[in-house]
Amino acid sequence: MSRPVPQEHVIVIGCGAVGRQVIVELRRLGTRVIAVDHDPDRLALAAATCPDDAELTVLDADAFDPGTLARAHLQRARALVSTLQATRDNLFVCVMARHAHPDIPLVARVALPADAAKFRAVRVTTVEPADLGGTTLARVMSNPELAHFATAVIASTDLPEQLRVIPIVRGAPAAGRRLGQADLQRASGCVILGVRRGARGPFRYNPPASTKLPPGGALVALGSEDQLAKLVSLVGYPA
Amino acid sequence: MSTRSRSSFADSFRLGSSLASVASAAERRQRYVRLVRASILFFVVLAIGAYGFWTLTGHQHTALQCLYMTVVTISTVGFTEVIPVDTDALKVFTMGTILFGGASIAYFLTSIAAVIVEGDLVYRFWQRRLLNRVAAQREHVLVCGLGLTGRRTFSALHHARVPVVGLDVRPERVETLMQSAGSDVLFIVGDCFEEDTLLAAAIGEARGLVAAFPDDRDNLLLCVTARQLNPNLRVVVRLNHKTNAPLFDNVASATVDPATLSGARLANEAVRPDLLAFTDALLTPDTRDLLVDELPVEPHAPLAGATLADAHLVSRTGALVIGHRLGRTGSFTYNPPATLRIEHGATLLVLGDRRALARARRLLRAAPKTWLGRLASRPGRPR
Repeated sequence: MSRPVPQEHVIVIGCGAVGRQVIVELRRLGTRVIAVDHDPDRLALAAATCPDDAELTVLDADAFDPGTLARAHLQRARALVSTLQATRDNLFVCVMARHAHPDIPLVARVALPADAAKFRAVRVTTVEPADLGGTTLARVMSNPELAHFATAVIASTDLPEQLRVIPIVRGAPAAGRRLGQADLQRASGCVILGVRRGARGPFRYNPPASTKLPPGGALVALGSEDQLAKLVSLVGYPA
Repeated sequence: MSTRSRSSFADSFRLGSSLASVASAAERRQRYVRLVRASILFFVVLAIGAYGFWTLTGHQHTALQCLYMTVVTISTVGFTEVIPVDTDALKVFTMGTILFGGASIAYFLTSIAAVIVEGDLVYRFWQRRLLNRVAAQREHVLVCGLGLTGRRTFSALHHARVPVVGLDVRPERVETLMQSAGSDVLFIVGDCFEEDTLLAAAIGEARGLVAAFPDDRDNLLLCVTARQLNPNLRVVVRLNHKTNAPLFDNVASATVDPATLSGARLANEAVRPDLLAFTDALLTPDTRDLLVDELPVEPHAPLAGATLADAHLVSRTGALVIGHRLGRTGSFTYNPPATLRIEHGATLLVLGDRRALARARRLLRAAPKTWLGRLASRPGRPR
C-alpha cells in the first residue's frame, strides 16, 4: 500500500507456528501488532521473533473471553487475523469481532475448503494452509520461476525490490496521461506491471503504451524503495 | 502421526491392488463361489438329463444324441426331437428336465453376469490398464502422499495438464482424490518407501517428484530414495518444520513450507489484499494467458548488445522485462535498470502473453533474416 506506515495495529489471535509467521510478516510490512495467546510459552516464542520491538505487544489472555478484544483495542485496530487451529475456534473469534466492530477486515485460517463458506457469511477472508501449500508445491514443480517471483516479491525479506499497488490520484503530474507519454518507467525506474480503472476491479496486466492512467485507479509496480517513492510522487500526489 | 504406520488394511493391498475394502473382497469371493456352484449344478443337470434319456429309451441312442436332446430341451430352443417323447415316463422326465434345466441355466447366467457387471472382470481389466498406463508415463511428476496438501498439488498439476501420478498407501485417500479430480487420474496404491512402488510409477522416466507427507522424516527418506533411483529428478518437498530446511539442501531442489506461506498470506490479506489479487491472477493459469518465462539471450541475436532502453521490448513485442541474470542458472535480479546491456549468455525474466513471449524470444535468438542463412546456420547440416 502506498500510505505511509499506518498507525493502526493488527490483532493476531494465536501464536502457533502460523501465528508467529503472521507476526513476522506484519512487522516486516511495518504494521503495529498486538498478539493474543493464553499460553505464556508461545507468547515468549512470539516475542522472540522480533526482539526489542516496541511495535509488537503480546497479550496473555483468553481469546474467547469477550473482554479480550476490548483489551486489544479492537475499535482502533486496522484488521484482525485469527490463526487458531480449529475451525470452530476461529469462527467464534471472528463472529465475536464482527459483533464488536461491523466494518473491520477479518482474516482467518481454515483447515478445510468446506469451512470457508461459513466464514464468508460473516465477511471473513479465509486462508487454507493445505490448499496454499499444495498449490505452491505444484507451481514450484511446474513453473518454478513464476512461483519464485510471486512469493519473493510478496514475502521476501532480503530483496530490495518490491511489488506495490499505488493509487493514481486526480491532479497528479502523470494522472490522465498515456503510459507512453508519461514514460513512468524511465522517470521512476519502476516496471509497471498492471493498471486498474477505479478503486476495485481487475487489473489490466502488461498495459500497452497507449493505456491512459485513470485518476482514481491504481498501478502495480515493481521497484526498489526509492524508485517506488519516485513513482508515488508522480502519480500519488496532486501537483 | 507418522504416515509410516500402515493402515489396518495395508497388508491386504499390494502394489496397484484393489481400491475396495476387505468387505468387498469377501463379497467378490462370494461371487466366484456362486459361479462355481452354478456351473457344477448346470453340468450335473446336463449329465442327469442325458443319462435319463439314455436309460428311458432303452439305450438305443448314442450319448451325443442324448446330450443334444437334453440341451435342446432345457435351452427351450426346441428343434426337432431327435428322441421321440412317446412314453409317459419320458414325458414326465422331459417336463422335469425343462423345469430344473431352465432354473439352472438362469442361475448360471446370472452368476456370470454378476461377476462381469459387479465390476470384477471390468475392474481387473481396468487395473491392469491403469498399471500399464502408469508404467508408460514419460516426463511425468509423482505426487507422494495424498493428504489434503498432496491432493491439492495433484489437482493443480492435473489441471495444468502436467502428466501426474499419485502415490499413497491408503486406498481411501485415492478414492477421495478421484471424487475431486475425476476418475481418469493415474495413481498407484502402495508404500512410497518401497523402491518397487516408485519403480512401478516409472520413476526412472519421471521429470519430478513432490514429497507431500506431514512428517519431515518421511519426506527426507523419500527424497533420498528417489534421488538414488533417478539422480536427475527434480524433487520438491513439503517442509513441516522450518528448522528442518537445511536437511533438504542437498537432496531436494526446492522446499515449500505451508506454515510460513500461510502466515505471510494471512498477514498480507489483512493489510494489502490488492497485491494478493494481482499475484493470484498472475499465478492462476486459466484466467488469462499471462505468463512469466525465462528467455536466454543467444549470441548474434538481433537484440544482443543493446541496452534495455534501446531494445524497446515493450513497444516492439508487448513483453515486459522484470528480471535479469548473468548465465543460465542462479537467481534473478528483479527490475533491471534501463541502462543494462543485453549480453549474450544472460537470461531475461519476461512477463507477457504467449504471443508477446514468442516475439520476444525471436528477437533474443540467434536467427539470421533469410531462410537460406537460417538453413546454413543450422547446426550439423553441411553447406
